[in-house]
Amino acid sequence: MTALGTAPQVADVVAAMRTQRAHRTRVTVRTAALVLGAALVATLLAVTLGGSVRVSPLDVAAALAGRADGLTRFVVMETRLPRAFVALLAGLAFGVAGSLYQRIVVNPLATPDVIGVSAGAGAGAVLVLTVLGTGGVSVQAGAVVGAVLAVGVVMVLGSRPGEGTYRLVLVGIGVAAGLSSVTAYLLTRTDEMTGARATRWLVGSLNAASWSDVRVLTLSVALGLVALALVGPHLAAVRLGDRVATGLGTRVLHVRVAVLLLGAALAAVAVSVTGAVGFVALVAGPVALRLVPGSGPLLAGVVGAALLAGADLVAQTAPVISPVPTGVVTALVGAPVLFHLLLRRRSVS
Amino acid sequence: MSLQARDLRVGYDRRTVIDGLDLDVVEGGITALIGPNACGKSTLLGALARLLPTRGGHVLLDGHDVHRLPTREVARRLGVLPQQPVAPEGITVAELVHRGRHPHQGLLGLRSEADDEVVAQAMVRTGVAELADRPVDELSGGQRQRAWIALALAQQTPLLLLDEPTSYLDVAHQLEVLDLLVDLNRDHGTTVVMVLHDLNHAARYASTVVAVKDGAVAACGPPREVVTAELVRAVFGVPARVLIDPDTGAPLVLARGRHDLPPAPGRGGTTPDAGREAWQEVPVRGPDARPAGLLTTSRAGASARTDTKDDR
Repeated sequence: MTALGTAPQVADVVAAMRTQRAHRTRVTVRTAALVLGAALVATLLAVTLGGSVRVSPLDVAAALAGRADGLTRFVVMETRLPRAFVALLAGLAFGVAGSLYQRIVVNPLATPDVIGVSAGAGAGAVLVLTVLGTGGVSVQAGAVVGAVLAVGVVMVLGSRPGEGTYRLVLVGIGVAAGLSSVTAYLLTRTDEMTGARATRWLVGSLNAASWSDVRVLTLSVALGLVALALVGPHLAAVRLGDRVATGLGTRVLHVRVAVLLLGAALAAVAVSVTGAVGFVALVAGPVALRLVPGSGPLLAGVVGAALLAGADLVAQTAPVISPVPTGVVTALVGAPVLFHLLLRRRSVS
Repeated sequence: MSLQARDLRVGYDRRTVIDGLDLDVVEGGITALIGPNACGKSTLLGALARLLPTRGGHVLLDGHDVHRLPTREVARRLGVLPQQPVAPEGITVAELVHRGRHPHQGLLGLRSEADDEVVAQAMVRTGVAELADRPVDELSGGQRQRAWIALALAQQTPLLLLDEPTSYLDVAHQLEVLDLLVDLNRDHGTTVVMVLHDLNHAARYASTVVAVKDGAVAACGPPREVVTAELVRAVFGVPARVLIDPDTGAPLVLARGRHDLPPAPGRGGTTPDAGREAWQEVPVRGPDARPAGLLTTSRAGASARTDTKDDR
C-alpha cells in the first residue's frame, strides 16, 4: 500500500528511525542523570543536615576516609550513610515495583500499595511485632511473607484468562482492606508500647536503617534488575493486549505472574526495611512518564530513589514538624498526586 | 504452511459456539470468513490462531497441533491481528511495529539491524512511515489500523489471520488494506485468512469464501459458487439479488431490506427521494402487501455490510 505521492525509501526510514531512537536514548539518559543528581544532592544534604548533630561535607569526606573524630565517624558511618543508602535503594525498588504493576495491570492506580502488597507486609510485620513480640529481622521476614501471601491470594482470586486485569485490581483492593482490618485488630489487642512501635513501622520510618539493611536491599535490587531485563521484552508484548501478545508468541499468564511476583518481591523487601512508606510506588511511574514519555520502569526507579531521598531529607530537616516519620512526608506529597491521577482518569474514561 | 481445523469445538463459559467444525485453509490463497453477527466466525479465527482454548478437536499447523507447538515457534509461522487492538498509552508507531519482531528476538529482546529493515519495510508498505514518531493514540482510526497491520507484517509470517481488518476505515483505506493483502499474497505467497463483513469485498478479494452460520461452515468454495442469493438468504436471512460485477467478474450482492422492493426484474427507476416521500404517505402498496416500496439509503444497494463489534 503505497501512500499517495512519493513513498519514502526503506533506507531513509531506517535512518530516521535510528536517529529518533538515538535522540530518545539521549533524552532518557540526560533526564535520568539529572534526577539522579537531584537524588544525590538530597542525600548529601540529609547526611550533613539530618538529625541533631550537624556535620559539614568536609567531615563527611573525613569520615569516609577514616580520619574523623569518634562521634562524627559514628554519626556519619553508622546512622546517616546507611539511612541515605536505604532511602535511595528502597526508593528505587518502590519505583520499579510500582511502575511494573502500573504497566501489567494497565491502571496507574494499581500499585503494590493499592492492591494489597503493602497491606500484606503490614499485617505480617504487625503479627510478628504483637504476637511473637520479636523485632529486627523477624519483622522484615514477616513483612515479606505477608506481602507474597497477599499477592498470591490476589493472583489466584483475581486472574482469570480472558478477563483482563480489572478483576485483579478489585480483588487486590478487597484483599488490602481485609488485611488492614487484621492489622487494626492486632493493634487493638496489644499493649501501648508495642502498639506505638507497630504504628511507627506502619507509617514508615527510616530511623533504624543499618548496613545490613543496605546489603539486603542492594542484593534484592540487583537481582530484581536482572529479572527485569529478562521479563522486560515479554512485558512489552503483553502490554499490547492478551490476544496480540499471544499472537506474538508470549505466554501471557506466565508473564503476568512473573511480573506481579517480581514487583511484589521488590516492594516487600523495601517495605520490610522502611516500613510501609506509601505513595512512592504510585507516584514514581507517572512522574517518570511525564519527564520522558514512553520511558520504562528503570527511569521510574531512579525517580523513586530521588523521591524517597527527598522525602527523607524533608522528614529530617523540615522546620517545626521534623523529625517526622518519612512515610508522613511521602503521604503529604503522594495524596495530591493520587487525586490528580483519579481525576485525570475520570476525564479520560 | 497448512492450517486445518479438525472436529473443532470452542466455547465461552457454558456456551458452545463452535461444535465439531472442519476446515482446510487453502495454502497460498486468500480466505474470507463471512457470516452474521455472533455466528462464530471471529471465534473460529481466534481458535485457528490459538488465541482461544479449544474444548475439543484440533487446529493443525503443518500437521502439528497448534497448542502443542512452542508458541514462539507458532508466532514465527502464523501472525494474527485481532479485532480493535488497543495500543499502550504513548507508544509510537515505530515502537509498535517493532513489537512484531518479538518472536524473532532473543532472550533480552535486543533489536538487530535486520529488525530495523523489516520494520521500515512494513511501515512503508502500509503507508505509516511518515507517522513513525507519532504516538499511536493520536492517530486517526485508519492510520491506527494500518499501524497494527504493519506490526503483523513485521512478524513476517507465511500465514496471516486478520479479524475484520477493514473495520472503521473509509472506502479508500478499506481498498488499500485489501490491495495490500493481495500484494502480500501474490509477492510472498502469504496465506491470508480474514473475517470480513462486506460480502462484496469478500467476493472480490478472496479466492475462497467460507460462510459460517451457527458455528458451522454453511458453504465453502470460490466466491462465484458460494456467494449466491440462496446463500445470503440462508446465512443472513436477507433477500438479495446477486449480479456479476461487470468490471471484475466477481459476484455483487445487493441485499434488500424490508422497505426495499422485492428483488424482481424490470423495476428500475425509483429514486430514493421519491420513495421516501411515498413511505411517509402510503402504508401499503401493491398486491404483495409489503410496506411502501422504497430504497432507503441505509440498507439498499451495495452496502451489504452489517454492524461489527462484539462479534463472536
